[in-house]
Amino acid sequence: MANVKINLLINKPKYSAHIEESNSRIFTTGEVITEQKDFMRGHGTYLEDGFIKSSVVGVAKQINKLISVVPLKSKYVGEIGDVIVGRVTEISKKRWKIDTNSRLDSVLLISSINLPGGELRRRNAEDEQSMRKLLQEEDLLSAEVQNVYTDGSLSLHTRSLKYGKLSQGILISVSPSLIKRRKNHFHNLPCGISVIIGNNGYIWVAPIVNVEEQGGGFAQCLDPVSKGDRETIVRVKNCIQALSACYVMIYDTSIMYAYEESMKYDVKELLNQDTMYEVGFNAKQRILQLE
Amino acid sequence: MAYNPLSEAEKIFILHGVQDDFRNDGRTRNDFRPMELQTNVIASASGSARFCIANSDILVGIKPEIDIPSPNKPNEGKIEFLVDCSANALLDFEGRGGEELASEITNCLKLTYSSPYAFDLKSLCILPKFQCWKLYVDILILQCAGNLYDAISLAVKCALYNLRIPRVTSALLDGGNVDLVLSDDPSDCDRINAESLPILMTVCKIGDYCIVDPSIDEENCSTSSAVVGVSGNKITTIKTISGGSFHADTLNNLIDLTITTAKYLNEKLLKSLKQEERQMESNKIQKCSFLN
Amino acid sequence: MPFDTKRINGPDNTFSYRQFIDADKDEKNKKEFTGKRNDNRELLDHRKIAVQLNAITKAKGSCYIENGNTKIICGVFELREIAKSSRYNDKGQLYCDFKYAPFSRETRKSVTENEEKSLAMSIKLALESLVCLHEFPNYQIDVFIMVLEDDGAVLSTAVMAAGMAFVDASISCFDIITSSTIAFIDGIMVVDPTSEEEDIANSTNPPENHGTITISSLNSMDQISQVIFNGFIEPQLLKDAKKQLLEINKVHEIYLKKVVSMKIIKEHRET
Repeated sequence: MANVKINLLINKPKYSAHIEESNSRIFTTGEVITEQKDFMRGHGTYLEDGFIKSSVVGVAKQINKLISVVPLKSKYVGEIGDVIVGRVTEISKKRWKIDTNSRLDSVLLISSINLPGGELRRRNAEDEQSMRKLLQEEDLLSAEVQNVYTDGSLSLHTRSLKYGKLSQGILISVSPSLIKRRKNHFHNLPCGISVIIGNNGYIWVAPIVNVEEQGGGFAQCLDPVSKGDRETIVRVKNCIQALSACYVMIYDTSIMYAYEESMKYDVKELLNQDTMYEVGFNAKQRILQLE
Repeated sequence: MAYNPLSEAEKIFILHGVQDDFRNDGRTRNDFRPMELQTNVIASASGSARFCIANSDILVGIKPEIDIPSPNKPNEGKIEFLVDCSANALLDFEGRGGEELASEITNCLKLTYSSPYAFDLKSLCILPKFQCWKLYVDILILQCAGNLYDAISLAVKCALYNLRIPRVTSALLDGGNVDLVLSDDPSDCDRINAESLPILMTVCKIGDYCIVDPSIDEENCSTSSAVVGVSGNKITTIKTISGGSFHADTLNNLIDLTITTAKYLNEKLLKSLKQEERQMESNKIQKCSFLN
Repeated sequence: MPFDTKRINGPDNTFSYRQFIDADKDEKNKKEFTGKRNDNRELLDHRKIAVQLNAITKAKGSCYIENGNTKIICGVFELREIAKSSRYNDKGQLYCDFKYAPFSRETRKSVTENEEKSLAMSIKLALESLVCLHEFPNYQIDVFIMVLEDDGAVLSTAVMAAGMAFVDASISCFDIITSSTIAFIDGIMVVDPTSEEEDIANSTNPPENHGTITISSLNSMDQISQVIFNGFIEPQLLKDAKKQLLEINKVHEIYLKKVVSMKIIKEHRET
């Protein structure tokens, strides 16, 4: 039988009550952040009358003398060494254009990938012509930020076996400010699946594949994923969406906590807003206890 | 329809998921995403409703106006649907982008409400040949996350359930002019029997199976899809809405699937509508803003 | 009613005198279905169709088709490249324009522009699975269809006309598309209805189980490329109608194939 659930909006609980007092100061637009003059202004700020003022609503971040304001919702601002997940939007001469959730499309040069058939092989004209065979429009890939150009656009590279084209799985898009920067963004979770938490807010959930077998990172496995793996993947996906709905930082531990909290529910029950919030908040509580 | 890029491997993952009866959000093939409804949301409309399927968010307002019946249908009222795909819902709708989809949905609603067994226009007639009600059903798409047809038809049904037409106490013909007397009491009004109003249901074919309530990603990887209008245990419309073809036997499966699912959906919907009505009567609910 | 400025429009605010004849009639005198058809056909018989290819000289391919009194002319024009400003399409795009001639029905211009657009959309969807669109990346193919006279089963006749025009234009297709219509009056199947029968099936007080269904199919693979039904009906009756329609489509297919091969043979002899 079909599963139909219709809720009444008049009975919808108000989740805003759950927001606890934050201990960090929130700056609103136009507010003076500091009156001292010896600071440098970073992202999300502007200079007026010699004061640094906030141009977005968010929390102020200070690195040495640089002050910036980080908003809750933002496009991804790349940094060298970040792990990202992106989607090919266009193929042009010697390069792929990649959507990485940043303001401008990023580029992946053909010279910054490992060509199939050995790392030391020389690149030839044939490779340029068969670029579409390696990565097509709309294909997904994982990569690392190699360089940031002056206009903020990124150049990527996949010169490691862990990077490359992504095969079967689910992509989830969350706000980049929810991604916790860590040493490792590739995780094989204890529940038996792998996640790539891109710094750009794109998260890839997929079955575990053996890296050595992938050979150059452009091969794809299109065999059906086993039902058990699929269930876990979808559960993790729903958990990540729950975390994102509750504004919990997303990293391997928080995902695992949410996953454990979700076990008492069916996977499809996690689509309901109340279950979703419950899982998210429980995971948050456990993270707070940890700290 | 909304466009969302998907790589080949992602499409295959979705396809195998449909085969395994375990879709990308954990639903089985004939499960719906959670839905939310509220009626009487707009004070200036005589009937209104807001209906959401996941993030597809539809707002409907109905206004009855007095019109002259068309000469070849002297004892019938009129109903007109108008869908507005606002660019807020989807950037593709910007400019004239949403026009084609809007007129498709409008036509589909018109077809499915055209049979007198589905919706009786005679009840909207005030004085044959001279005066009738014309219902303007204005539909606004606030957000789009796939499956617009279902969401819109359900929203329209809720709004018609909520509709209150002022009661005409007397209608007299006075030397070619019509004299209408409407009831002074605002609570004295006519309502429409919403029970058998048709609902539309989108069915997408992915691989060898049909699914209901497709998400945007599923819409993008289906080979063909159709909208079926169901009223009670009868069918009011079938319309293919995408370019692909399907095997002749699939049509039978599609009909069986929609008849059983729509019946269940309709029961649930009416139950929720009645429950809401009871709740509204028993205690005044305070709203902080109408979208929340 | 939307106003088409591209055509000469008649005066506003006029009514056809026929509308008043119908309105004044008693309920008893209303058109009623007696079980016998005006043109002495059996209920399950379809009308004879006549097809002429290459009917418009300026078009790449064209077709004139008569189904009883329903007359439709269709032209397919040369491929055009889609302007660079829009998104790149790896498949060809169809543009379908469908118009009723103002005098094609009993009352002048009784079909609104919206209805024309919706029919155009249905024809376009039917043709999308017929034409090998992957062979024409980033191209647009224009199809223009004009109904000269409407005596029922317009959609199905138009789909066949467009399909044959594609064949005539030598644009690659997967199959030959065939299409037919059934009207239900009080649960009785009436194959290939005339406009009068269609009116009864969708009139203001139809008997229960009424409506019209059109199915377009590609017969070599048993594929249905387009279905449109409106009315109010028992599901089982629709399934029966589907079976009947697919059989009629197979008969049409044989005839259409003959027309195409005859044309080739004729041209071959002439050269």
